[in-house]
Amino acid sequence: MKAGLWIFIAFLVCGCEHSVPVASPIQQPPAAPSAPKTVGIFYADDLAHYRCETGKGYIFDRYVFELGPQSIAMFDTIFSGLFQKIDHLAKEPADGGEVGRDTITMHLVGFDGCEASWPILGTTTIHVAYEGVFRSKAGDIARVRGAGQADSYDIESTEMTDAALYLGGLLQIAMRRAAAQFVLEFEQRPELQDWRSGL
Amino acid sequence: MRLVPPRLLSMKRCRNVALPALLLVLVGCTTGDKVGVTASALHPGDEAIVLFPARGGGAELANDTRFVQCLSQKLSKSLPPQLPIYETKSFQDSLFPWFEPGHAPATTHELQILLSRPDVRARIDALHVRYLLSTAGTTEADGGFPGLLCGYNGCLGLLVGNEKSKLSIVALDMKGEEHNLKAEATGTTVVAGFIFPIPLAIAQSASDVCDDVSAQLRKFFVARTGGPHLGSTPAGRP
Repeated sequence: MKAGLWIFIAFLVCGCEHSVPVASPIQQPPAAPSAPKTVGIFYADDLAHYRCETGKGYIFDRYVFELGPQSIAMFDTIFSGLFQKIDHLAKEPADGGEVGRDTITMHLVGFDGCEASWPILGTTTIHVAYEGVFRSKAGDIARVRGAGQADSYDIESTEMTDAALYLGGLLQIAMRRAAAQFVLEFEQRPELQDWRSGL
Repeated sequence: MRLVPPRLLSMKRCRNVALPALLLVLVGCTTGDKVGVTASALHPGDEAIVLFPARGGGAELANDTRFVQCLSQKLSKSLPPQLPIYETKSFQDSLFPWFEPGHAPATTHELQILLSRPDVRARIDALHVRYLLSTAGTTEADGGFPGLLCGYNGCLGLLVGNEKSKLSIVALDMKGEEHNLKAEATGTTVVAGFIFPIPLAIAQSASDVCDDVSAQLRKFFVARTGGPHLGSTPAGRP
């Protein structure tokens, strides 16, 4: 009886850890012309290795977000459509440009999913924001941001039965919205179109 | 992060749970399944139709997945097989990011500008989509009598709520013509409270708008396709 009580208390205190399942929300390259150039892409540590946990109460589970792999998959799909070829760079390009090549450095500049508090289902809003630093061969720099947000109104009621799936669903929608804004800004800024066409 | 304080019958909770549940039960034409075909299901000669929510004000009803499913299902049933409804999500995937909710063209002029991009035009042509239906609409509360009180001992009183749904659609033929449709409907919800809340009538304005618009669209497509073969199955099609 006493042992059972302790196990029960331990269960309440410990909770469980769940990894939030996320898939890349972009499956096809954007409907945009592909520039005949090779671009070096560097995913900064703040994006590639981003990991956080939701704050945990005494009786609740905690959820772990890892944004890197799926964000990289998403932007690889996007850039592979916008450019003839992309190369992953091992180190961050310095301001002033890498000699002889155009580069893009991607950062995660905003994410609030780990601020989620119970009750998570039906009340949480997730916001995510990315920034791309476009560096030309000549050393010119342009920054493009894309931010997206999702809340329970964006989720099908069938996805509201499991908190991890629910958080993953919200994150995917927010990532897709951020990516859409990112691509649209890239497409609509003349200086970036000049950069893309090599002017 | 924005948190919504837990409030009994708060608007947020009502919107997230009660309204979808009511719509699901009452609209009667929603299943939760995706409606429409994708490129792999099309046959040579098909001219697909796609619905998408326009950007800007008045997109609430048009963005409602259940409403779009309702409209898609009704059109799928009433149009000939060679005019299939293309699944909106697949269309948005293929045309990313141009038809994303919040970014899709808000006016016919914007849509024409977008269609002048060769890459966009080529993708739409590759999907065999001929008709683009840009939808915008809202459902709004329209007065009523909030006389229902609920507490720990139960409910007492009468709640009367009126709502109005409006929808406008621009049907753009990729071969150049456009056609404007509008529908509007009102409905009243009556809930009596005597210990338990007892719904006596539930507003169905969104469902009525769905019926009205799908009937108008059917007429539009019948007129364009000649009509007599509606509902028939062309040779070679299962």
